[in-house]
Amino acid sequence: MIKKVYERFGETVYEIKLKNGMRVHILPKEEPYFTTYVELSIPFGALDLNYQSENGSILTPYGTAHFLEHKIFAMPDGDAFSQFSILGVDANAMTSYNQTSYLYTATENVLPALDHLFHMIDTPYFNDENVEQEKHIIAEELKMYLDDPNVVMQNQIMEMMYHVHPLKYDIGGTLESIMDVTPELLLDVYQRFYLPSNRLVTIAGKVDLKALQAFFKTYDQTYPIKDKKPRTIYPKEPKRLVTKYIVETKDIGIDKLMIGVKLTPAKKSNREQIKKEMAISMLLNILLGPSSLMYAELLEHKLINQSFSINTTFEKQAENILIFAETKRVQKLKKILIEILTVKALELVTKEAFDRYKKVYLGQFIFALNNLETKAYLYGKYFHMGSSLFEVVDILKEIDYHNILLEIQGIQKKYISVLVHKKA
Amino acid sequence: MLFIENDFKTIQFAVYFTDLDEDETRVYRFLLPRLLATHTNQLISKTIMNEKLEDLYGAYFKSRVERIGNLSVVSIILTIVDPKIIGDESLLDKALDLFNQVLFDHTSFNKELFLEEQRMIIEQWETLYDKKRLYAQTKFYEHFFEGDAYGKPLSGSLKDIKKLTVEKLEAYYHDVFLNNTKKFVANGRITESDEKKIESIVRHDMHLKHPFVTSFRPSRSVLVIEEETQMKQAILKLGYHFPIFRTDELYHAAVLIDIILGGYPESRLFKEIRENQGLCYDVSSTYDYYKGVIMISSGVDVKQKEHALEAIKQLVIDMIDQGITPQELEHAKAYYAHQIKSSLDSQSFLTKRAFIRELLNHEDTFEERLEAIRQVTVDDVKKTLSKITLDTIYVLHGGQDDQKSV
Repeated sequence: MIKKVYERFGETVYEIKLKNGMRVHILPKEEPYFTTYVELSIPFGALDLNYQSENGSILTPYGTAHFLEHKIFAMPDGDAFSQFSILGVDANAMTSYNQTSYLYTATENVLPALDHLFHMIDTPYFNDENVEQEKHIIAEELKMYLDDPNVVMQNQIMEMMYHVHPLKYDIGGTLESIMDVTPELLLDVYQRFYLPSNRLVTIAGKVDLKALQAFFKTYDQTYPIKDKKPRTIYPKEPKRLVTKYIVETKDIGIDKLMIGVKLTPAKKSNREQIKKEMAISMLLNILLGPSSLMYAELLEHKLINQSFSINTTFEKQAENILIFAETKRVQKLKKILIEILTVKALELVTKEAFDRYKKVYLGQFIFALNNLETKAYLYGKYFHMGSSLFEVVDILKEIDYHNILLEIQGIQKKYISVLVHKKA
Repeated sequence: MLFIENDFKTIQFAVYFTDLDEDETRVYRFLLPRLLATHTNQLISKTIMNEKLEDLYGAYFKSRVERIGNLSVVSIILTIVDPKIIGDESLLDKALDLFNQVLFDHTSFNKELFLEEQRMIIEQWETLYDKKRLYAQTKFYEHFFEGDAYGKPLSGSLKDIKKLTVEKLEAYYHDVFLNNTKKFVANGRITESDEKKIESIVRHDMHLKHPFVTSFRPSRSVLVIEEETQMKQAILKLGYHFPIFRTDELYHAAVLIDIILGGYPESRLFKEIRENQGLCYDVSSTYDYYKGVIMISSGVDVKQKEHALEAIKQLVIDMIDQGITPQELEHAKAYYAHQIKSSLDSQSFLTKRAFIRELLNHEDTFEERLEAIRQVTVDDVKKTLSKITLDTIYVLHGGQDDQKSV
């Protein structure tokens, strides 16, 4: 077990690497503390659709990782949730574009719940009946999102930006794609991607280090298999957009605007990639964040309301910026936003604002450490990106004003899609 | 002042302005906290206010208004990073100065900012229909709590918002709001000298000006409302009369009923309606112990809405008639105890808890609460279940055209 101390933030990490390749990282919190948070994450997400096998390339339906996440809870003796509940722990799971996580919080029975978590993960149980039943449940989940106009717009603009990249579809897939999922397919994907060597276990909060060490030693002896996961194949995504502009009439209260900026991903080291993500996020905050001059002007001219939001996505071979607004002057807002991004950005990004935002990001990092679940989630996320949560502060220090100015060049008018939903 | 000392990496300063929840003042209490945090006499615009917060390492205000029984509580909470972690000793003083300004340093309000906040609330109303889940929740509350303050929106009505003027709001702020019962909480790593500083700028009121009351109308024959709109799903809302309140002897039994009915993945609704029948993705129950009601919500397949509604109603009838098993009770107790213990690790929860405990005069320790939960029996639950009566059903659903497109 390796011990790493991050004195400045009052954090310690204990790392265990099992012979079967599984990693266990423990972030203890001193007492008085009641909760233990456990997250088992696997770098297999919604974008891992196409992979190489001994029989050639295999293409799975959109939403496969999310479907598998649902069905991992199925056990021969019933639903795995029941046993978690009996133990008095709160279990959950989630799928993102690039990973699947199974997690629980406990204040008692941490080890029996850990044992059950591994029993569940190591017991795939997929059959025609339970897979068909799950299709109804997931269909209702997807329909729930489709009743949210923002989600509908987000799905639509992704299809306007991407030709072939799997980012163009929702993490859960589509109502059609999930119908193609079979027990055999789930088992094949499970066997290839859910190997112990592909798992990270993050344990944070109240811990008994000795007991955890003993637990994982025994587990390593029970599951000694070490294997490599297959490589995900991404289709070659053209730089150009699919569709530049769509206007649709809808039964809504106020017009809605979504602007999608398709960025061109470059091959970079993990550290450089994280740096780029931070720089672009900072750039957007300086340009259109709550303290920016432009944000104040847009409010003053009644062009935006509290629904105004900016999101960025940085995934393998697909990066974008999405801007959403409800507005009563959609054409004017569209023109101004595109002008800010592509023409005025250089003059609007001041050194003074940049220096302020560096302080904000340091603050946000500390806010994240304050929450057990956020801390453990981010820890897993950065680990799977080939970095570490505590390196992020060093990466932040490396970003200078010129990095921000450089990122402006990546935003080009020809790579901007615009979607308008107009009030009928 | 309520001080909570711990080693979280952030410090919270919270104030709770408490008054009666009344039709005439609801709109003021909704808009006021939003406006207070946008500017002060010294920080004259939103931009300057936001720059100030960014300069304090991304410190942020969270403000909201909520109903607790017959009371309206406006909370304003400032969260900053622990100055010791970032090595900036001036941060606490700067943050306290800002907190003080936001609460008290307003001779008048900037009219432009008032109009901006007013416009944004009006636009929130104009887009309510677009957000089907929120719309369904609002309509359900209107029907279930008809004639009760709970049935009226926290923001006041659209008409109230449109009629509001900056002059009226200023008068309310100076004449009424600042005279509300004010309770302050500071939570984090704070030294004794810091405590003195904080106490020199705020005045913590020990006593409530109005007694705390919880009540609801008697149950009635079941009201059924169905509404059609453009959507993929059907949203089902069932409101049950359940006159057990926070201070009642059967309170813990009522919470356990909520958990067993629809409070966690082992609940009857989750297992039967979702897992066994595959009728939905989400189904849950919520117990409001200030109002004495239990509410069920689910998004189901439009074509199955009648079947799902009947299945949920029957499930509740069976639970009332047959009670629960000792095993169900033990699982729910374990889950409930876990929720209580884990909440004690959340800084925001501890801040709110300190206020609620003083407001409701609760003195029991969490160990005493856990013991009270352990004491609940299957018979207690059976007795408590007999208080449940179906009162209101609201269904918002898509039409034939929406089904074809699925």
